[in-house]
Amino acid sequence: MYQDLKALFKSGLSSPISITWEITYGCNLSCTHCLSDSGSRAPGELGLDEAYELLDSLAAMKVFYINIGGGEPMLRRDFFQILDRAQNLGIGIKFSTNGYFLDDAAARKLSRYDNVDVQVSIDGHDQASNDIVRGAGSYNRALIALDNLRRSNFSSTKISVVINKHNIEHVDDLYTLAAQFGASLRITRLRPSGRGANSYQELSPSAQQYEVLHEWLLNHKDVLTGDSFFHLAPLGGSLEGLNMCGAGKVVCLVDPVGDVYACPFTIHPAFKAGNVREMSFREVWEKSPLFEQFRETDGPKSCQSCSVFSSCQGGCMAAKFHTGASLDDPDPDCVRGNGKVVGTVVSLRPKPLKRNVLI
Amino acid sequence: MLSLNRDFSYRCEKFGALLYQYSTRSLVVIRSQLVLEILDHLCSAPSTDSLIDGLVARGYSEVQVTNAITQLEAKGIVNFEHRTLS
Repeated sequence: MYQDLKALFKSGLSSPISITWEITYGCNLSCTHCLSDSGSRAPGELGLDEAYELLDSLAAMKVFYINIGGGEPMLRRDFFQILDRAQNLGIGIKFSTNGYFLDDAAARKLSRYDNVDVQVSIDGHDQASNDIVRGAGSYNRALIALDNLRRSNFSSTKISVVINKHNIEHVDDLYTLAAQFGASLRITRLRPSGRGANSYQELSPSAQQYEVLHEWLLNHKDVLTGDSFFHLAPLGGSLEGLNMCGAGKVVCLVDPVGDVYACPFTIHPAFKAGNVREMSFREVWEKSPLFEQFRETDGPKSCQSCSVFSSCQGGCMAAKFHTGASLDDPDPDCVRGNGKVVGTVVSLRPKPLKRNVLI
Repeated sequence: MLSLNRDFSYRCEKFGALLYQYSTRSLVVIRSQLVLEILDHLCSAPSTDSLIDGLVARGYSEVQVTNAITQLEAKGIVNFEHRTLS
């Protein structure tokens, strides 16, 4: 079935299934692997009226849900107004947070929404392994947020983990931790984008670790992956999800200043399709030459003769790009060992404001 | 009268349609032309009878249409408001 879906989806959908919308680059943490290199707000982030306009466009295109991220989305003072508008328009929301601002009152508020998932980021099964990546105190604050959600009977909580070579050894512990809070576990692949470009080689799991993880995922079908481990598909079995790169075909990213990129891991001018201040989101989605190119491409040339090409389709475009490879090369974590890290290409985003301020 | 359950959203694609269920966060591809036409005409048809009549006029048998509607209702995709018999 998934093979069929891949064939249907690879030439692009009329609208994205979902988009990721980084609503601010402002963040109170500075995680070593942050995919968007967040910290300070970008100048000219979309205001509330522009946010409403974008949501209206997405609703008109019947985008089913939005992944709200950042930065720390709850730093925006109009965060709940954005949620209200999305709910009124019938758009589902999944948002990622470090939990610092998810106090009792916020948890109670969230529990009144339909179709809102909260993904609390934790990158280690204990304080030491988490805080070394996410910063001192971040583990405890995430647990407090999870506890607030549980006490408010919020029903759609996830613990969201970016898999690295340390925490990959503790997926069972992370699974147990999530269960303790009545949450689901969501694990995603470390990408070399944002600050992750600098920490990728140091934090990236080994090929052997990935093989063990793949087996573990096959035995834990209730663990969500954001469809991010499709480069492991040639190992066999069938992981949940489409198992394909959906960049510009089924998903895309809108950044805080309205720039539209192919996916959350490609915040770089080479992958910019347009800006929602200059044209409508629909126009960007339907007419961007870059997206058209992705929809017409059959995958990396150097992979097309590989016997497992149909299962991984050459892997993750962002992982290649940010490790200095050509898009026609294999994924740096190719399970056949054909990939390689050539160098580091860091993301380029608008220069930050000098001071981090609440919006 | 039939209506799309509020737990679902759907949209047309060149290969058929996509149906998203909010409560399960799951996506289904619809390729049956009959199901597509039922979903398309849910809002515009003034009654279930006229919806069925319209589809029969397009060449489907009444049995095909009622079976498809029954299946959609069994899966919770459409709601059927039962009329009180007078």
